[in-house]
Amino acid sequence: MVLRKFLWVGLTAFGAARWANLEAAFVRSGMLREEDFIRDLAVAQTLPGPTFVSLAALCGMRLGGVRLAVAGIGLVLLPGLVAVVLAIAYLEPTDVWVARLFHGILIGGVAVMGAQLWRGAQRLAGPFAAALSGGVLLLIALGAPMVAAVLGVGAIGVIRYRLSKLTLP
Amino acid sequence: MSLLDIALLFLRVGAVSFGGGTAVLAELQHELVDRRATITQQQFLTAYSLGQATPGPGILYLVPLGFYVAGPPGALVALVAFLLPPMLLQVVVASQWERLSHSPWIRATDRTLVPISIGLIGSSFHALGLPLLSRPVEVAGVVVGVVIAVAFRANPSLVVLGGGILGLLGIFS
Repeated sequence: MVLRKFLWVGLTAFGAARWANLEAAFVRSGMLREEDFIRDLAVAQTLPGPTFVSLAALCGMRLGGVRLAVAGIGLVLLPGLVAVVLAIAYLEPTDVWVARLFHGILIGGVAVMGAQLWRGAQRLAGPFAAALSGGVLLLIALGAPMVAAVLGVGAIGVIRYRLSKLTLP
Repeated sequence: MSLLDIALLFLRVGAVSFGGGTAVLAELQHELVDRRATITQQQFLTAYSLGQATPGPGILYLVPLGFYVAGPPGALVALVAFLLPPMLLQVVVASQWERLSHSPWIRATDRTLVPISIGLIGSSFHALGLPLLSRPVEVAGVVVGVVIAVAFRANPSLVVLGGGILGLLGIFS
């Protein structure tokens, strides 16, 4: 039952907020408590990694420990993996129709990324947060390694926020 | 590029993938296309398009990326290596989250990660979007897609699907 739910989520999760499919599968069905799910969502969004896969792992942990966490990750990945493998095997990227399709999908994907960026920029709380974002973007655009950019700018942000009243209780 | 090299690269990128798979596109493009020249820019873009067109998490573009670098073993190693650090971290931190979330340092970190992840997504947009900005019809396609996704809150899948259909019709050719 649980495994089937994970598989169904993997098959039907498209677009943004894919985690909502996990909520529908496990919270609305009463298998997980909403407060636990929300706490796990906060963890998944805070830490590195894809939120959707991370959350599937955390749901699996709550429902049946490490084994179900691993199974959950595998099952939400499975439908997409099958589709990707079939595409690699049978689609020829140099074929004119396939190339056109992929190019159009790429443009749509970049537009979705642009929309993510636009919405994200609305969430930036003040000029300092905007400077942190701009700093990461600029460093990477100038050729700095991503790890260095994240750790360097991140250290400045953590120290600044730690010293400010913004994060005090 | 050996399987060990692939594993080390994707482990490193996965460990700092704040903002998810989209946030690390620029770094992967830099490493695989520009610095190591293991795959072509066209293969990189094809891999990304494949990942967008399939159900499930948006990180599935890692599979064709790994495949283009080192065949099926490369695909498997890329996906597992990318997922390993964040998954382990998630499971460990989740069990301690109640206690950790009260720490002012963790709260400061949490507050910092939002702008960091937005900066990372911006760098991916820059890396993937820049090659498209050479032709007005493609710029128009991206702008219209952003407007539809933001103003009309359209499902991102529909924006991607719409792009694919317009591509098939030869609008961007």
